[in-house]
Amino acid sequence: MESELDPTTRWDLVDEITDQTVEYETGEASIADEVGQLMISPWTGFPFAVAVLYGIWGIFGAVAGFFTDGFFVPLFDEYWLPWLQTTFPFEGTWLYFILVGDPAATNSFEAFGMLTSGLFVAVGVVVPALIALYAVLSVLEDSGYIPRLAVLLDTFFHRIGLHGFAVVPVVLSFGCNVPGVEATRSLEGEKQRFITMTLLSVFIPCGAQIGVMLSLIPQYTGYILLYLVAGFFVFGAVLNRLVGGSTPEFIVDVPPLRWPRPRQLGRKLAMRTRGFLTTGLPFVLLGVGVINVLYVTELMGAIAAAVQPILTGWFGVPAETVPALVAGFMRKDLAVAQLSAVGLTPYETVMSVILISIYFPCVATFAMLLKEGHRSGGIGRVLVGSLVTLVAALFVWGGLFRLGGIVAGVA
Amino acid sequence: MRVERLYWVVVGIGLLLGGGAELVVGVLGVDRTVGPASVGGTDALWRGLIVTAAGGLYVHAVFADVSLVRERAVLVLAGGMLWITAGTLTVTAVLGAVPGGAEAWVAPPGAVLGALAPPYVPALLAVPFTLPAVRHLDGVSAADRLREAVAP
Repeated sequence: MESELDPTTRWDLVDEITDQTVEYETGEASIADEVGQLMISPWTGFPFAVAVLYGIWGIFGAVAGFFTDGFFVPLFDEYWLPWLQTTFPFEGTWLYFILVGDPAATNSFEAFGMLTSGLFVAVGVVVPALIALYAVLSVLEDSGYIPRLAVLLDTFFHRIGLHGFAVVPVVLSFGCNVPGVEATRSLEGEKQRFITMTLLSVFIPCGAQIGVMLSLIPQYTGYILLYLVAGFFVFGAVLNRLVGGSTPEFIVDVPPLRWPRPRQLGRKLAMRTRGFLTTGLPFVLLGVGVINVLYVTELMGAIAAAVQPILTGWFGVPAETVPALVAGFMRKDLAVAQLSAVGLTPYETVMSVILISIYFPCVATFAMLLKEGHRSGGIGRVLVGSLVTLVAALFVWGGLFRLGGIVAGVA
Repeated sequence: MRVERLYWVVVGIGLLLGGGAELVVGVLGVDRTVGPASVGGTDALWRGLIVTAAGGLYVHAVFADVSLVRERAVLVLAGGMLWITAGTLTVTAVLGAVPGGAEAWVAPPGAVLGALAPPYVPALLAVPFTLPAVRHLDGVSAADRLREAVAP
């Protein structure tokens, strides 16, 4: 039913009803209540948030590393890959190249076949990382911390036209952009959803990419992330001014702090994991297959030749990085891994990884943008808006880094 | 109450020193080990920030009235920051030690326990000294107490 009351009158009515129906009692706040309040207060809340983020990433890295490095790497490299390479027929054919990849590869990361690299990254890298991230996020949600973090960060997100609750898609995107974009449907208003979706797909690297970055270029990962997060807020502020529409105020009911219940945590974890397995995982496998088809048909070489002048001329990265950058559309983590095989200077390495992060979302995220676009003003608006932001972010933010490199004498 | 205030001041100053050391080695990118204590590693800067902030909260609480619920909550919050950090480090050490490679798959118990051996970073060393704050925990929010009180 459409109400004709203006907001002030409506709130007065709410006050009147509340006065007549609610009885208040005063009592001493408990430690849990006060701790909950301190989590919202900036002086105590921000240091605690740093500790929580340290915990999230520490546990995420430990659990993901436990499964991936501890068990999946030896399983795939010592057993699965050699078995496939020796038993799979049709060696030397395009089918073998697409499904198994390089017959001389010694590890599943470099084989680049759908059943080798594709399966390894999908099952051995992405799934453990996502389960770890979802588990930590579920604990934070059920304990009542996420609403407090949203309130704490609300002021910052307000500057880019968002609310504190945008932190949920952001945190999810650090695991995988696909559930992050999906989570924007919980945000109120088309403007919020559009801005969040666009910023996530451009500036937030996924867990798999961060994992590869941490293992291959740990000394640069912090600087790269800092530059990307800065881009998130700078372009967010620009989008907030350019994009029409309003960001409605929100009232959040901050629940009391509670110990999470294992049964509920298990259900939530199972539901989210199932969601990813059905929507995200097929894209990862398909991505490797499409890349291999591009290589087999030599289309990859043609694409690389077409974009090479821009990449080398504007951003100052050598021609050898172009195939990796093009491949980043399908798999950003593997694109970063590919870079490690190219002899690059520190500047070229950092520039190339930044380009991989911001030049285009991966194919799975792109598909999710299309899927969720209708909730944010239409698919056309999301596509055009995202592409304009992408081009601007790529040339301005990437070019700015090149300029910094030139000034510092390293580019 | 005075003894408790003095205790938290000492813990707070110790944390400020330990956290400060982590910050310094984090910026310089070096590692140092003295007896059972160690500072450095890839996350030294972050740990330094957390431990220093926790130390600051302990020292601050002591200048206030520790008998107030609000100030006791500050002690619990600072302890929580250290418990999160120490818990993360412990989980990381154990999970990193369990896999035994393609031959054995799971490492022997001795190797796993060995991962918990000293030296320890300041956040881990500080945890036992923060345990007195546990007695301030009642674990029940006022909202829950009220709900229980009005429940039929």
